[in-house]
Amino acid sequence: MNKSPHNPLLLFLTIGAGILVFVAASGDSIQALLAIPVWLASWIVSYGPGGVPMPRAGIILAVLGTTAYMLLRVMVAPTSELVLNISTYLLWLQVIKLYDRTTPRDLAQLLVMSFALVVGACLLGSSLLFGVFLLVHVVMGLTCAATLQFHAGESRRVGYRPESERLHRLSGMAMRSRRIVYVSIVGVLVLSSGIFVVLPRGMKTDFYEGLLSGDTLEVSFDDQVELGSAGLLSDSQKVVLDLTLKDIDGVPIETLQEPIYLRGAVLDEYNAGRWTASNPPRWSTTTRLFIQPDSWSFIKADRSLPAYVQTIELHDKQKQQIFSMPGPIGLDRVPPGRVQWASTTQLISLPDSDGRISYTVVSQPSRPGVNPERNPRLPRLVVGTNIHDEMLNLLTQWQLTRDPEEWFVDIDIRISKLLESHLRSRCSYTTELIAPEPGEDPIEMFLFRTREGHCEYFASSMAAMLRSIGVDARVVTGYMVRETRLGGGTFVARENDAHAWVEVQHTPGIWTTYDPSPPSDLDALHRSPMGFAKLWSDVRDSILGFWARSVIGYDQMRQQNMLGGWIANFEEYARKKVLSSGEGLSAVPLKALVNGLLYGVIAFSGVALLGVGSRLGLRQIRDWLATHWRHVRHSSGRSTSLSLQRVSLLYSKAEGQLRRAGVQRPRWMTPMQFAQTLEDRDSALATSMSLLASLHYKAVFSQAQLEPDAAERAGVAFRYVKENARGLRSSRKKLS
Amino acid sequence: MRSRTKRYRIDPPLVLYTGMTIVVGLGALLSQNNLLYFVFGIALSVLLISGVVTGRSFNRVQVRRLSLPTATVGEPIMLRYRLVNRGRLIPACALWLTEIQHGRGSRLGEFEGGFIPLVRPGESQVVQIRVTPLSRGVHKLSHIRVTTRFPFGVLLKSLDVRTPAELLVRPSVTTPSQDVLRAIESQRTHHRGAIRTQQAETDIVFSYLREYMPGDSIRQIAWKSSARREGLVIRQSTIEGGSQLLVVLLLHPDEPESQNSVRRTNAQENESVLSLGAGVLRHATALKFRVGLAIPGIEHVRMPMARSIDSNRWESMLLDDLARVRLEDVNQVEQVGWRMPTDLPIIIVRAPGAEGPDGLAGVPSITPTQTTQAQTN
Repeated sequence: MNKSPHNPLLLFLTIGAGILVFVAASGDSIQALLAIPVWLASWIVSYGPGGVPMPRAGIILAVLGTTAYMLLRVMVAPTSELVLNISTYLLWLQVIKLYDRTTPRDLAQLLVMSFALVVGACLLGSSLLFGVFLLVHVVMGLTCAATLQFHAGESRRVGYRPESERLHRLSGMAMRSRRIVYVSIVGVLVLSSGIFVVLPRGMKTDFYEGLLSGDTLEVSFDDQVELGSAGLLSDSQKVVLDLTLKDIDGVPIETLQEPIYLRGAVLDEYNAGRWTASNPPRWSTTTRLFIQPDSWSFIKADRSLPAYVQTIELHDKQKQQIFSMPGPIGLDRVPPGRVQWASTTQLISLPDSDGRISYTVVSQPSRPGVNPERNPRLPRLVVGTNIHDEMLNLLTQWQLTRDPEEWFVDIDIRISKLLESHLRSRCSYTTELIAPEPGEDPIEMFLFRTREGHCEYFASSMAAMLRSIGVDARVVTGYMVRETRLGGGTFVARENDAHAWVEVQHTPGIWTTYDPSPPSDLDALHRSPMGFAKLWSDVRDSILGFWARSVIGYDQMRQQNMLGGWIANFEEYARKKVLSSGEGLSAVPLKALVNGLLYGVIAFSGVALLGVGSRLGLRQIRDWLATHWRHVRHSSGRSTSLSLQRVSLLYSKAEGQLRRAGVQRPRWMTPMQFAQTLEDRDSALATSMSLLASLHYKAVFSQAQLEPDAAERAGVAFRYVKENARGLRSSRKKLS
Repeated sequence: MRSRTKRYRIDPPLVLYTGMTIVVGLGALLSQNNLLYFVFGIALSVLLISGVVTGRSFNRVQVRRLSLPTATVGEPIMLRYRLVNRGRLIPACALWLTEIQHGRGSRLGEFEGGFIPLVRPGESQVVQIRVTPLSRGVHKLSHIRVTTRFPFGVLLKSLDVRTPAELLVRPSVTTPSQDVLRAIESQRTHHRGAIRTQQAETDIVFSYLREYMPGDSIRQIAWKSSARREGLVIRQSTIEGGSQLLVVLLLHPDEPESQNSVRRTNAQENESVLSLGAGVLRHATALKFRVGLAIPGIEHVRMPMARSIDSNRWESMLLDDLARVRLEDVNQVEQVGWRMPTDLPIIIVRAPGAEGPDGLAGVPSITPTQTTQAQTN
């Protein structure tokens, strides 16, 4: 048995961490249930102390069997599972290898396989748990790699030593060298973070789209409403989007008096319990617009009206349209691709981007749309005579009259508000699904029979009742944002915040939001956790948010934000330089040049300061340590005056000067003998060194009180040595 | 040439690691998978940090050779070194120490050990390397090489310290058979015509004259007798109780035009002759012979010494002579024109088929393949 003298537990745990990384990434619980017991058993059977490796033939047989099984699996399974299959194969290979010999070469192979497994796992998952295991694995793996250096060498040292003695020796070595190992590992983590931040993003996307099978969020938002089904109902707490809000002057809005309605779909046609869009929105493709105070936009901003700048990070965009507050007038910082805007529905669409995106929208909810005079009126909606009669009864009850053929009358606002209040008070909110009877319209069921339902019923009922008397109303779906993240400043929408409400057109092009769902019921249903639960929820969400935003979702835009656009400017400069070499520097934007130069100077200064500072700092620390160590060694705890230390230090410095000039004191020579050897080079130099040596002796050995002028004389002698050493150095150069 | 050379070495593990890193980096760039970016960052950082740590730890490391013993083929020797870390902050960890040979000659053998787990700043350590020489000759050691893969085993950095030296490796000693030993013993005769003189109370010295041979000291030339005989003669002396014996090794000449297989066979047989010759020399010395060595193919002669010197030292000199024999310098004896002294007891160790000079009729001759009995031609 060829066993190397190593402590196998660390590597064993590293392999285990690799297995957990794979399981967390792939979510393959069957492999976990099979592999983890086999991994644990290897400690008892062969890998741990006292274990015996399996016969070679058995190992080969197991590897062949695994290979055959995996080949079969690769042939049968779709291509999208190729990475999963290869990773599974690696997982089993390393588990089998745990039953093999444990020579240093075998241990290194195990470690390499574990790292390869982790690389494969990176293509399979992106959960936070995976990230935690990945970090643990990296740290343990690097520590393992460092200790394996000692194991490999120790196993080949000349001369036999008992195993216990070798282990003792090894542990001693590991203890003494662990500081440099830890420093190296910390250095690796810091440097890799830097590399992670600065590496270019956005070169090409979705190359492995077919191969990736990561866990994605299931967004409950839907761009149609079908009453009687679950619709927008969801009890999932998964975060759908993050929102930061500013006013038009850039002042952050950190608390909300009222919920924010982020629109996602506009539905204005009703048929047999289903709300859809009457006509497909007429999307107009526009160029990417950069936000500027005076020209935001699709339409020009009205500085007299309030505006909201929303920066939204959508965690998993699946539909074409994106979410925004009512009345979007401008868009910025969107992913590459087309930007479309529909004037009638006031929806924005980014058809070329999917997945995690972020963008900035500016909205003026009370701002009229483009060409309001062309805004078509919605047709009168007749769901059933009961609904119309009910609406007329309500108007009578409120002592209001309205001609259905009239447009945009002032009374519509009052009617809408009263109807909103009426529905809130008359009907109750519930998430229980009640199926309509055959032939029964779901809205009529809600209004006249059950009087219970979720937001879609409330919104549908209000829209239908208003449309029955000729008021333009439509159902809008999206998210209602009320929750603030820990620390404030960022709002969050979860899947269970999906909502439906109503927009009413009182004046041409201006749609006002009404939400007939009872707010108290909504609050009760979507009540945020309190106390420790709230704290835990916020902390968890913050960590998840950081992981999602800054690690998984770190993209070109975040990089530009973080690096202050330096990379973008450099790319722009390089691109223009290459593409228009004939135009020279004139083609380069002045801003890019200035920014590039500025950041270059800052970076260079930083590096230079860091270098000089660290060198100076290290020298100071070294000198202090040298003095302190000598003091501790020789004074045996007695106090030493500053002058004693200084004199001793001066001698060390003088020796250092001579050493740098090429004259070094042999280790066997005493300082005084060394000073005397300098006699033939320079008698004054020898005298100075003799003086320093004698003071050094006094300081170190006798602890005697120095003469009052000793420090001064030592200083003079040191300066002479320093200047003379320079001369020695220059004369050496001449000679060479 | 610089006395200290530091460099990073490209070896298969580094190539494999770099390849994997590039693949991960390309995967990250193409897929925009941030976790792959992270892994790529880790891989790249490991490479950079390894370079910095190993580079810094090597900056102030000094190494020197403490001893270089004489070696014999097949017998392990220990080479000792002192390694000093003159750095003040960074320890030198997981160092490997080995020797680099000069030129493309035969390899000395595998260096075992030479691992230094840790040399703390300011610390000095003595390291031993065991090496079992595989081939005879003068092995020129040019550099002491210190390498390390610390901390992560990825990057190999080496420090070559130029310390040229020669390691003399004697041939392995083949024990002669009893017949050979008897044949050696039978050579214990006094030289005819020797003049017996009393040099000291205990030593009886016999002196006689013989012809000068290449390799003889000028101080031994009997100038008056040489003037009378019209040729240089040597006054040879020997001591009673210390009979003389000249061991003659007949080697195959090196013929570059012949086939490689033939040359290889001849070289192996020559090495066997040298090994057996070493055995004969050693045993003859043990039998109190004053032994000389002659290798006609390279015109090498070291006549038995008359003066009383330490027999062990003399034996070492002869074995060193055998160590220095370069087989490619062996010529035909006829071309050399070497004449065999006829007035000394001689024993010939002959490579099979190797021809010797004239006048060897009746001289006992042994071959490496027939060491069980001494043949008399």
